[in-house]
Amino acid sequence: MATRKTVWSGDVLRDLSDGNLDLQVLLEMQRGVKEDDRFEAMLAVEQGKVGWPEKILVPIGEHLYVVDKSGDKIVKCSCGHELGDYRQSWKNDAVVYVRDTEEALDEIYPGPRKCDVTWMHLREYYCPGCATLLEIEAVPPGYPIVFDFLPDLE
Amino acid sequence: MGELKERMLRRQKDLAEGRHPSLELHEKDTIKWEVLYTRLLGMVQEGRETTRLISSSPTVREFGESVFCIFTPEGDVAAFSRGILLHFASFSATIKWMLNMDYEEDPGFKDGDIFCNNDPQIGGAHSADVATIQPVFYRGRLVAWVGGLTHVMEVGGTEPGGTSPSALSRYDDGLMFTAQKVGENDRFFKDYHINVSRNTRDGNWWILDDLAKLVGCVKMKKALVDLIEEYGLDYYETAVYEMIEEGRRFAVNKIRTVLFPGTYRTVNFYDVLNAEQPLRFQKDYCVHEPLEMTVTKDGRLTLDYDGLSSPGYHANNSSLICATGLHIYQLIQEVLYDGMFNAGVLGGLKVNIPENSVLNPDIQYACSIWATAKTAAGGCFQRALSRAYFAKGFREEGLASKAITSAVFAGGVDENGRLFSVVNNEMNSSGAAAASNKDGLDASNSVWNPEANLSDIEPFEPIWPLKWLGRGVQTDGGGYGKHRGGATIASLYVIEPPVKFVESGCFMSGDKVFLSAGTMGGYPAPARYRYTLVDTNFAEVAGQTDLPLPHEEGDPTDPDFARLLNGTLRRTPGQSASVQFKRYDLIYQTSGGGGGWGDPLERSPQVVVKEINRGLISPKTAERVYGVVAAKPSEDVPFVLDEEKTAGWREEMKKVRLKRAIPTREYVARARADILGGKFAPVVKETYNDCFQNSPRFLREYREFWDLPETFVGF
Repeated sequence: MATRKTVWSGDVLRDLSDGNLDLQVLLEMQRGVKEDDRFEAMLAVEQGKVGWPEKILVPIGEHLYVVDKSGDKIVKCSCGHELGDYRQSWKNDAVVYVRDTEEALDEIYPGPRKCDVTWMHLREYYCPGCATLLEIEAVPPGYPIVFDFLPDLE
Repeated sequence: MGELKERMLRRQKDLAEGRHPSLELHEKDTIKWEVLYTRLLGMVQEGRETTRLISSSPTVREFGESVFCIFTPEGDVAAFSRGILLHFASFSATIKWMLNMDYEEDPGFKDGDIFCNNDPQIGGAHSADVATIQPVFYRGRLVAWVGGLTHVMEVGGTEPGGTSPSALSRYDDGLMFTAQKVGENDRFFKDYHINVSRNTRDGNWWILDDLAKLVGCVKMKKALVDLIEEYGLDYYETAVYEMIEEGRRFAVNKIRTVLFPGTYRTVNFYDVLNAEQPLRFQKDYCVHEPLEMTVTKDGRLTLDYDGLSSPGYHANNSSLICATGLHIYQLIQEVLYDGMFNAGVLGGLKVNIPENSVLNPDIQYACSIWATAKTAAGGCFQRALSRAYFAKGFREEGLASKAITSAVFAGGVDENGRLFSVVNNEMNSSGAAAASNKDGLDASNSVWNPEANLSDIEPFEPIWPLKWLGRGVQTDGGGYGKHRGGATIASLYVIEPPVKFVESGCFMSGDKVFLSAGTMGGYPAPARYRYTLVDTNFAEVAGQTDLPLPHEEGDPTDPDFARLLNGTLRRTPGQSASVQFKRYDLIYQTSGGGGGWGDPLERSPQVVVKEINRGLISPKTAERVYGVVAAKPSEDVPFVLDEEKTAGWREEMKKVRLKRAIPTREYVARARADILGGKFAPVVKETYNDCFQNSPRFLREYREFWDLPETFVGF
């Protein structure tokens, strides 16, 4: 496969990062050959979006980044809130609301649309800084917190 | 040892030890090489289309449940048609199995031989996947194989329709042929089709599909021999292995380019609710499917399912062949879609599926509803891939969890005394999963068959007594998110005309658990269920022009059909064994929605209001999930967004989030007390205990996470 440079403008990549890319451009991008320097191009876009100085090493989810803070690699939310060392799950430093009652589930999954709370509940992880919903786990009671992603940064 | 078996083992050893062919012919004359590849693809596609156009089965003709391929003499895929990508691995497995079992010596391979396989342990996914395989000879030498597979609508078994939710062991799965020779000289044996005819409810589906597939295979054989004559055998054989090698190189390079290296973990659960079904073993299962995916910097992809649940005496196990096919079709659709369509896609992939697990059961277990185990595992793989794409910056790719699909089947004796058996695949039109930049499509998606079609209802209405009162997209039928999952299809049927006997059931799981998970803040799609309304006054209401008939569910807590008609309403699981119905009974059936992506409070309020007015989102969900306030200025006009109230309400919702949430570490400390007290439902305890026994690693990590003593071995 030949080396390919990014052909997309900063504005297009910014829309892509925001999740608002025009559908036709998105389809064109999906059909195109993947570029070898997309990672670096998107990092520049992400760095330009956040209002803090730490260098982004890799995005690990919507609003979530592993950053270099004075030599330490930590997870940071786009709002600036810090969520601990990247080698452990950021969820440990988040706040969580657990939908483990019929009432809590009925609020958003009415009647027959909800799961059985004795079989499964929803853990909603929010950023303590900006209250953004960062991840939801649908697991039985007693299931360990899932460590979604440990990037290879060595 | 036969020559082909020896070649197969040698090739497997070469690949395992990293000895790959060069691309000499490709480098010498790329155009000639590419034209040959394109012509091979054209052949398999022509085989599939030929079969589709002459098949009598609406499942094949309308829905597109078929696939055709060409193989090397050792059984590696040389070219694969569009259609059920799942069988990429399964056909290969059947041919390799025949070679391993020394079929070269007995029964031997001759020009014109026909082999049939629908044994899911060595090919296909379940007994409804009936494969027709033929060797291709050139000047007296076996130079290739061709094969065609269709999903057959009736294969015997405990229930009509080819798939049996009440199957509790392999021996309930239906009539099986294990890589059996069923014809010579391009003609099926008479006794083979007599067997099919007498041991299935309606043998015509199988026999006519067989004939259609044979036409496709014979056509491909002839075209392939002509092609070899034109190119020369030496060139053809060398070029085919080069094509597989090119596919392998592409796969490794693409994985290296688009996926961020690291370790990814995801988990899914599925339920099998047999405790209250009319079965001989009545037991519920909560099945655990954890995945650890590793991507290396040099483009290797490893999938490890250590910690899986054991197989069970239920229909929802998946054979290893099927589970392997699952990963290949997902990889083709989601990463390698622009590569070579041959065995090279396996190049960068390594999959560890433990023995004696739901994805690798031994021979006694039923695999009729294989797709549950596959869909749950596939959702894990999909979310892991999506995060790997996301991290690398390729956000035009990646999806939340795919939707679970469903199917309705019925059989019995029609008004003329004829046995009938039909599965209606419209429920394979589940909602597609959401992505980072777009919603999932509604009622659009069957993940294992990317070229599937919802199908018209007209071909089905003459062949079974379920008539549509309505078919549409379910309101709030996908996972919520900044981008929402596609909503599921939903149909309402009435039993008509008055047949002599009709039984009907449905599958798959996702009732007590959410099966299509969201990602990065997106919610899972709703749970699945079926409503039936029996002993109705449908005839009376239908006879009066001033009374409305139900056409959809409406409010799920007070469904339209129960409000507008009299009758006994029952909610049964999304997978329900077959039971008897009678004229004017109603069945409401859904498939599954796709998982959502991102925080719902980031969804465009204008889009939410537009979807309220299209009936895709309810006003209640708009307010409670999306924080959108909208109202109708008057009864006969659409909903209008209140921007100011929406902004205020979204801020308020964020305050509520932080008020009712607690620090995760505090939650873990509280939850640990529940664990020490063993305060779980029996089925959940049983799941944990089973997985602890299966996986010392899962037990060790469980102990470590919850800080449990070494003496803890289960609940």
